[in-house]
Amino acid sequence: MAARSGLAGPPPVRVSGFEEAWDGLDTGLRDSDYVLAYGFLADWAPRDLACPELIRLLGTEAERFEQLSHDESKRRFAASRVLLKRVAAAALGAHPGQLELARNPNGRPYIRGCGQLEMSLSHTAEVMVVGLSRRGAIGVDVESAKRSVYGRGLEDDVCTQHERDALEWLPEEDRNAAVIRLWTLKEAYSKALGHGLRLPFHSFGFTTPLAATGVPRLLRVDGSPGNDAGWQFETHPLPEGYTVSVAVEPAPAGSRPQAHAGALIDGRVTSAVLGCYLKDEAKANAAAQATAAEGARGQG
Amino acid sequence: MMRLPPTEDRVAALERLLGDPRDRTKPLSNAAVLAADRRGELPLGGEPTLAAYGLHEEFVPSELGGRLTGLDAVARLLRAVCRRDSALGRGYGAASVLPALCGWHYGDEEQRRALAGVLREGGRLAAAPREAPTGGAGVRATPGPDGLTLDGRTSARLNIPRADAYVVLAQHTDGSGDTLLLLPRDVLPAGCVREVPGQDLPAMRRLPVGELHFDGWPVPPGRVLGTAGQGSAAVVRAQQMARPLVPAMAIGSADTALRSVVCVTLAGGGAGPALSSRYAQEVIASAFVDLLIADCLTLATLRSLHLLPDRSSLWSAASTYLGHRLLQQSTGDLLPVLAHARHDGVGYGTFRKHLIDLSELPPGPTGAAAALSSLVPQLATLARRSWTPRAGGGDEVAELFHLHDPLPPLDAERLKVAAADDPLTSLLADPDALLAAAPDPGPHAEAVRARTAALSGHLRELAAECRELPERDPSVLANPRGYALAERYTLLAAAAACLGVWRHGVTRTGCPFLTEPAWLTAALGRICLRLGLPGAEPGGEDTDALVAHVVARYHQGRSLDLYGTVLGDVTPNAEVPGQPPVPQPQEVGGRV
Repeated sequence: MAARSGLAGPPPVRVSGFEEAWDGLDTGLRDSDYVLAYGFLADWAPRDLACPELIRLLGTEAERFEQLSHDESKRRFAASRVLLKRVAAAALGAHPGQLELARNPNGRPYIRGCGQLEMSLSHTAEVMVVGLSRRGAIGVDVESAKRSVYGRGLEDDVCTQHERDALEWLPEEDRNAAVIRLWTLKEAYSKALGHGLRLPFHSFGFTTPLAATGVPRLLRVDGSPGNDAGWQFETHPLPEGYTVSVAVEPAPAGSRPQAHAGALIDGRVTSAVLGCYLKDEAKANAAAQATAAEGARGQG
Repeated sequence: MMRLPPTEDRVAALERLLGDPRDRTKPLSNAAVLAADRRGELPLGGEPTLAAYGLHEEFVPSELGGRLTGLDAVARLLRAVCRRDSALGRGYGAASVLPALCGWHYGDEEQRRALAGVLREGGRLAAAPREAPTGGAGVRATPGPDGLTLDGRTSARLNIPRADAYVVLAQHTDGSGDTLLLLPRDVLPAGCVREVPGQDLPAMRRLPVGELHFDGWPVPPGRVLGTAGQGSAAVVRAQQMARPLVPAMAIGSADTALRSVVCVTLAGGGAGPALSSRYAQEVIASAFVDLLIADCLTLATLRSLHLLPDRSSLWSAASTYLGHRLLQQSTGDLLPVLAHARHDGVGYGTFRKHLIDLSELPPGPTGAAAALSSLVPQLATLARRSWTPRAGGGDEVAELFHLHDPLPPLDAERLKVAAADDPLTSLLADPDALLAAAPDPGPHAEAVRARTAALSGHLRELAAECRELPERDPSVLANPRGYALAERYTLLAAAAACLGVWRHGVTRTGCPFLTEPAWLTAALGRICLRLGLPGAEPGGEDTDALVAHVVARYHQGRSLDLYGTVLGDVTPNAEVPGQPPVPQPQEVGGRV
C-alpha cells in the first residue's frame, strides 16, 4: 500500500472506449490503491437506447432506465453506468455484464458482492468521473473550471470565514478557480462520507489550493488544522477544462488491498462445499440402489 | 455434573465485574479503555478481571470441568467484553475458541484433557489453521516412517507469543492432504515461537502477534488431531462453529459506539447536529435497527449450530458476511453526527475507537469473500430443492429463536459444509402463513405485510435466477455475478431471521418495545433498501419511537441489542419486581 506521501496520486486517466488499453488504470490501482478515470458523454453514450446488450448490462437498473422520459436523460444514465461498470470490471478483472450496481443505505454506490471496492461517480455537462478505491470510502466531484462562481454568492454558502479571508489574499484572477476547488473538495468529502450534502459546507474547511493539482488539508471552521484521521484530499485539473476533487478514506490499519475478484474466490471453500454435495448424492444413490435391489428381491 | 447458572446470570455476573462503563473510577470504564487504546495497550486490569470471572472456563465443555454449554452463552459473554474493548475480548478469549473447538471435537481423550488443563489454568491457545491462498507462509509436513516432519512457518497469528498450546494445520508435501496438529508449547523446538512487531499487521492493534517457524522438526507421537490427512475438513467445521462468534462480538463494539454517539448528542454535541436534528435521529435509528438485524441473524445462526447442524453452514456464512458489513456501515454513518463534536472528549474518542475496532475485526475483505465463496456453490441447489413454502408454516425453525432456551451439545460430526435445504430463508416463501401465526403488528400491519411480500417476491426472483445456473460448477459463479447473488441471499436470510424473532422470540427478550412492531417494520425496510426494493422509506413515527427507545436504554445503562443487558453493576431505575426490564419509551420522558 502506498504510504501517505503528501503528494497527489496519479492524475485522472481518460478512457474513451471499450477497446483501448487500460494500463493507466491498472498501475493506478496497484501503486496507490485508488484511481480516477473520466470519460466524455460523446464517447460513452450509446447510440441505440434499446440495444439488448445495453439493457443486459444495466441489469437491475434497466427498469429505472426505461422509466426515464427523455432520451437525453437516458443517454446520460446509460453512459455513466457503462463507464462505471467498465472501469470497475477492469479493476476487478471481470466482465462488465457480471456486475450489479447497488447502493448502500447511505447512498454510496457499490458493486454488489464486491463491497471491498469503493466507488464514486460524478458528472457535469459532458464529462463523467469515476473514482475507485481499495483503501476505504472515496468521493469524487467534477465541475467545469470555467464556470463563473466567485463574487456570485457561492463562496458565502460554501466557504468558512477563514476560507473567504484566504481567497481575498489571492490574485483576483485565481479566486474563481480556488472557489471551484474548495467547492468540489467539499462535495467530494461529503460524498465519501455517504451523506451527500449532509455536512454543512461552512462547518469545515480546507487549505486554499494555489496550484491546479494539490493536496489540501482539512481545517476546522476557525482555520486551525482539523483531525483528518488519515484522509487524503486532492484536486486535479483535466486538460479539457474541468476541476476534479477526490477524498479517500484511509484503509483500516495495516490491511492489504484486495486483488482481482477472481483471486477472491477461495477455491478450497468451494470445493469443500461441492465435495459435500457429491458425497451426499453418492450416499443417496447407494441407498436408492439398495432399496431398489431389495424391492427386486422382494418381487423375485 | 454441577448445574450451571443460566446464561443471564452468568452475563450479569460478568457485567458486575466489568463495571459501569460510564464510571471513570472503574478500570474498564470507557475513559480508561480509551486512555489505554491511546497508549497502544490493553486496558490495565482487563485480563485479570476476566481471569477473576473465569472467562476461560466458559470455553471448556462441562464434562471436562468447564462451563461451556452453548455457543450462544459464549457469544453473550464475549460481547460483554467487546462492549468495553474488542481487543481484550479477542486476546483473552475469542482467539482461543477456534483451537479449543478443534480440540474438543477432534482430539482423543488425552488431548482433550490436556487442552482443558491449559485453558482451566488460565492459559491461552493459538491457532494457525489455514494460510491465505496467496502469501509465502505455510507449514509443510513430510510424511515418513516415524511420522511427520515439519518445515516452513505459519502466518502471523494472534497470541502465538504467549500461548501454551497451538493448533497448526500442516500441508503434506506428497499431496496426501493436510493434518491438524495439537502442539503444546513445551514440546516445540527452540526458536520456534517468534514474536512479530504488531503495528505493521492488519487488525491486531495492541495484541501480541507471532509466528511458528519449523525447520525439519519431527513431530513427536500423539500430536495429530483427528485423522491424519484430513485436517482441512476438521478446520472448516471448527471455523463454521467459531466464525459466527465474530459478528456476535462486533455487536458489542457497535453497541458502545452507538451509545457514545447518544451520549455526545445528549450532552449538546458541540457544533454538530444535536439529537433534535432529523438527520441525527435517522442515522441513530438506522444504526440501532441494523444492530438488531445483525443480532437476529446471529441468534439464529449460533442456535442452528446446535439445533440444525447440517444446515447451519448457510447462516454461518451469511452472518459472517452480512453482520460485520451492517455494523461497520451503520456505525460509520454515525460519524457525520459527531464530525464537529469536541474530538478530545471521551464520548467522541470512544466512538472513534470502536469504529476502528470494527474495521479491524474479522472477517475483513478476504474472510468476507470466503464466506460468499461458500454460499455461491449452494445457491443453484437451494433454488432447485428449497425456498418453497413448508409444511407447518416453518415451525421447524421455531427453536432457533427461543432466546435463553438450553441447547443440545454441539456435534461436529453432524455439521455439514453444504446444506441440502434452507428452512430459515424458506420462511419468506410463505409470508401469509408466517404473518398469520405471528403477533398482530397493529397499525404497522400494512407496512409489515408489504415489505414481507416484497422480500418474498425477491426470494422468488433469486430462486429463478439461481435455477438457471448449473449445479456443481463453481467456475460459472466464481465471479462478481455469483457474489452478487450470494450477497442478496444473505440479506434475505437476515430478513427471515428478523421475522423469525418476531414470530417466535420477541416475547422472550423481556423488552416490551421489541414486542411492538416499530423495529420490525424498520428492519424489513432497511433490508428492502439494501436490496433496492421500493417502498422502504423509514416512517417518521417509527424513527421517533426507535430513537426514544435508544435514549431510554442509554439512560438505564442497558445494551442496545436484543437482550437489553444491564451494563456494569447499575441498578436500573430501581424497578418494581415484576415490571418489564425495559420501560416503554413514553415512561422515560417520551419523544426526544
